[in-house]
Amino acid sequence: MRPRFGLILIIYIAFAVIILFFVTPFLWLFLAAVDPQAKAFIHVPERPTLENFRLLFSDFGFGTALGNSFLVATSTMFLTVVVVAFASYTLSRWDVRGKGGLMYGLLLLQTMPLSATMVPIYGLARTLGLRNSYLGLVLIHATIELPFLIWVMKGFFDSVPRALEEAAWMDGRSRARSLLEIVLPVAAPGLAVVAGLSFLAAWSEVLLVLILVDNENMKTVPLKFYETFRTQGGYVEVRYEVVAAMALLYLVPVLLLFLLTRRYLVRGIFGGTRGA
Amino acid sequence: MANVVLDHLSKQFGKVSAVDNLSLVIPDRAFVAILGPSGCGKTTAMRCIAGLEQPSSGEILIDGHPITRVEPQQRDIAMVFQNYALYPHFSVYQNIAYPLRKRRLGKLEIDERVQRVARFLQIEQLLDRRPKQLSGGEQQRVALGRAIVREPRVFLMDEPLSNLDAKLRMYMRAELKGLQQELGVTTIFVTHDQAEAMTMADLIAVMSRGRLQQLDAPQAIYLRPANLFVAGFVGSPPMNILSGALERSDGQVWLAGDGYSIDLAAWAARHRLPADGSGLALGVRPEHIALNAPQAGDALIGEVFVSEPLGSEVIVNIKLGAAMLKVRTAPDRIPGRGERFTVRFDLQHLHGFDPASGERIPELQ
Repeated sequence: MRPRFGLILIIYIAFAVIILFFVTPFLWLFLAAVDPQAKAFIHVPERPTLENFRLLFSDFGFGTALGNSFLVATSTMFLTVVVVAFASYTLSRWDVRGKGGLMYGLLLLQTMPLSATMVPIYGLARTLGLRNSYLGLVLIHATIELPFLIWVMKGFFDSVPRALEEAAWMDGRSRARSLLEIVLPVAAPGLAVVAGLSFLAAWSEVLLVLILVDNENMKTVPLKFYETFRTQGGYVEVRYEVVAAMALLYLVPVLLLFLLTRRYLVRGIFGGTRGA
Repeated sequence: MANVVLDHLSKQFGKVSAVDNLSLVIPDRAFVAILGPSGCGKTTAMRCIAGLEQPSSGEILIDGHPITRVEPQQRDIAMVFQNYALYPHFSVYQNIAYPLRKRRLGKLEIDERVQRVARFLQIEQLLDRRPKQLSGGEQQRVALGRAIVREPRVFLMDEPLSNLDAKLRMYMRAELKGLQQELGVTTIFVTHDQAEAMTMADLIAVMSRGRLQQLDAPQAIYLRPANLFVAGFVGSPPMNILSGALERSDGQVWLAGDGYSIDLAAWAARHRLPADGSGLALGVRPEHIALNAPQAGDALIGEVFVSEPLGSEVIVNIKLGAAMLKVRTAPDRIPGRGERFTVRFDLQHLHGFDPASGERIPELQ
């Protein structure tokens, strides 16, 4: 039986309202970014301009922040992918003693709220001289992301048939070579997911950057962003047009990454994650 | 090019004994089937030969050299996996060339050998495809190609035909047999399908519960099964087994079953019978039973339960006392339910087994 026209209309209206609700902030972003006098509410600019973007780089040091963010996020990504690849492969294939406990331990780590460990992380970083250091940011971002990504990647490795590897052994390859030549390429979608997720995580993380970095030349985009719309107790007026322009540029790599890996992301988050 | 010896091979997984004291001698150039139901240890035995499992005890020798502690990479054994295990990110060409790339062969030599194997298996037109784009039969040929391109000492095949549909399986049986005869490489294949083992192998090793039951030529296994397990496992329909007590009086010997008794005098004269009063399991193949029109005074009269026509033959299920026999008859008449026949056993082809141990009762020399 076909649903009645009235019902369809109601469903469509409901969808429209929901879409409007989620789209509005982005609409504001696009409009405010080209509006020299942007406000906190939606306002169509009389004379759209790219002046805000120029300001970002000239007066707000956004270029440096962008470079810092890229450096930290890509380094985190590479470090994470390498560590995750070996850790997950081992957990997937080898009979490690206490593997179940290890897997649940990783899951437990993942559920810990980051803010709870903020103080000890700060202390550690200070003792080890990892404040205001790229290495410090990369190491800590990677550490935070590892538990979850190891789970994700183990699921991918579990779905690679063992027979493929065994065939490579029979064809004369060592364990290491068959991992490199057969298993990793077959599990490449998983590695893409891990790379994408770790990049995004490092790219958007602000809390740790806030406590670990106070050197102006080392600030990353999210921190810059945060500082720009901080009113400092009302002493500074928020530059909405600058915030909007920053936000747009900040979103570009995220969108690119999503478009490149979306097919795998779905599988990685919903399909590939199987337990210990 | 190589003989393979398994010397008292055992493999335990925890407390489960997958392979139990298995000794086998596989002659050079032989085509050997390891046959058994699932879980009988046949695949584990093969994986031990491949080096993918480390045996708990015992030794494996190729051409007299122990290889038990040699890595699978160094054994020069090729294996065709049940699901073929083709590398999905490689083309067919790259799959076949992969085992060669390890050795220091020139590009030209590799190309020459891949092309030759592809011609041999008639897959030249598939070389640029990915495994995913191939049918099951084509994938199997590629897997075979990857195995034979190396010219290994020994081939292992794990259920090589089980993933093919019935028609293709019949076709590939002959293909594989021909291929093996042409290449002359010692080949061991694992199967649960007795028809596959019977049709392809020179020698069949029947396994059950991790133990070797019989190692013999297919015909010998069929005609002289070593025990009740082999008798029941090989043959389709399987051998009929009639159990009863052995009774003797005045030089006469009878098998007294539930609702029937069979005169075994002629058979008993040629066999080393167990002691009086012990039981006997009498085996007889469906083609060694004749059904005749009943006449007055016949002792063994059975009643048809159902008939299964198969085109070239009919399998008649007939009740003899409490026992149900399967009888292979000519297709010119399909007996109906309730019809009565005299059941006659071919005394030359009766098999006696000790019901306690399951062992075959030996013939007198």
